[in-house]
Order: sequence, then C-alpha cells, then structure tokens
Amino acid sequence: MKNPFKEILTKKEVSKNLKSRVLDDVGMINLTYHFADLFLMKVPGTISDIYIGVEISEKK
Amino acid sequence: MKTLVLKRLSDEELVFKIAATNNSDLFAELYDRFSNVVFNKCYGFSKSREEAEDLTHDVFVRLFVKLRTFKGNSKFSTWLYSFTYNFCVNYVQRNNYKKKEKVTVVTDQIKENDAFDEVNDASLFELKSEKLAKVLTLIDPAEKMILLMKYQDDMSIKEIMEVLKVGESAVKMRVKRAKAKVVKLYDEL
Repeated sequence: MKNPFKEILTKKEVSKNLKSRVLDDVGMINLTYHFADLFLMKVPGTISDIYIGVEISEKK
Repeated sequence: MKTLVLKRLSDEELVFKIAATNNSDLFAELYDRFSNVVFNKCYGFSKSREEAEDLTHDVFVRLFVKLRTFKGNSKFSTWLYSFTYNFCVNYVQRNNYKKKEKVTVVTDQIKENDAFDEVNDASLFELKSEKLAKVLTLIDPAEKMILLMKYQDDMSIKEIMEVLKVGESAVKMRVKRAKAKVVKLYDEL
C-alpha cells in the first residue's frame, strides 16, 4: 500500500559548505570546553596543590 | 585506513566515541551519515532551502553538545529524528507565537468540541501526498511531528513513548487526534 507520508519526504541534498560551517562551530565549542577545563579544573587544581603543598612543607 | 575503520563503526558506537572524546573528526563522520536525512526533515518544517539549512546547522551544533544524553535505549537514528523534530517544532512554535503576539483577536467563539471519530490507517494512506503536505502545514507542529514519527519513520508506539517521555495512552490519543484533524482539514481544502 502506498504511504503518502513517505512520498512527502523530500530527497534534496544539503549544500557542501554547510559542513564547514557546522564543523567550525563545533571546533569553537570544543575550544570553549578546553578553556573551561583548563581554567575551572586544571589551574585551580594546580594552584591548590601548590598552596597545600607549601603549607604541608611549612608545617614539616 | 582510519576512515575505513570509522566507516565500519555502527552509529551507536560512533556516538559513544564522540561523547567520550569530543573528537571533531568523528563528528564529521556522523555529519556525513545523517546530514541529508536531517536536512530533509528540517525542510518539511521550513519555507525555504536557506531556512532548512540554518535549521540543519543549528540541529548539528546542538547535537554535539547534547550527544552525551543519548543512552542507547533506542536506535541512534530514532533518537536523532525525534531530536530534530523537537528542534523544528520549537522553532515553528516560537515563530507562530511571535506572529500571534502582534495580532490580538477578540472572539466569543466557544472552543470546538474535542470529540473526534477514529480514522483508520487505510483511509489515511488514500490521501494525496500534495494535499497532505499542505494540510500538515496547517496543523499544530507537535501533531505533525507525532504523525511523521509514526507514518514516515515507522516508529512504534513504544519508541514514541520513549522519545516523547509520555505514556502509551497519551501517545495513542495524540495520534488519534492528529489523524482526525488531518482528515477533517483535508476534506475542507
């Protein structure tokens, strides 16, 4: 039995330059993730390690 | 060699790898697999090719951020279609809301009775596709979405329940209501 819902689905091709637009934005999001990870996780972790490390060595 | 390995990965394996690594090259492979399908789905909700491309762009960018929420309970394609539909429905409803905001209509008309007759699938399949496409632009986009899920993507009631996060009776009722509305509008056109 024919299904008109399947017939209305177009079979167009997306333009080639859309891929680069998408991947550029994905790259930007990735960069933001890396910076967030660096400044919110790694740098504070390192700073606290340094200070706690200094405090422990001073106590000794 | 690397691309050959990538091609052999199932959609689900590829998605889990992207979620774990945030790798853009892997995401490019996912884009290649689904860009045309997503574009054509978006085209069904938009008025022009440019609008459909903008929607496709936004769907893929949002997808990259939300990929971690895919748990593998259904096929990735099923999940992606519902993700795309939800995005398009929100887009259309936002636009419609903006248009309605500008015009205030005062009416005393009492809301139409919600009673509707059961429409069987056979009579639904007898509809002409051109006229059906027109009718689908007139109904609520959420109703259009549920009909496309069921009759275009062949999703089961259970799959629709999972992606919409509603109960079985709610899905059946929405499908029934949407079908009745489509047939009513079709006859009026």
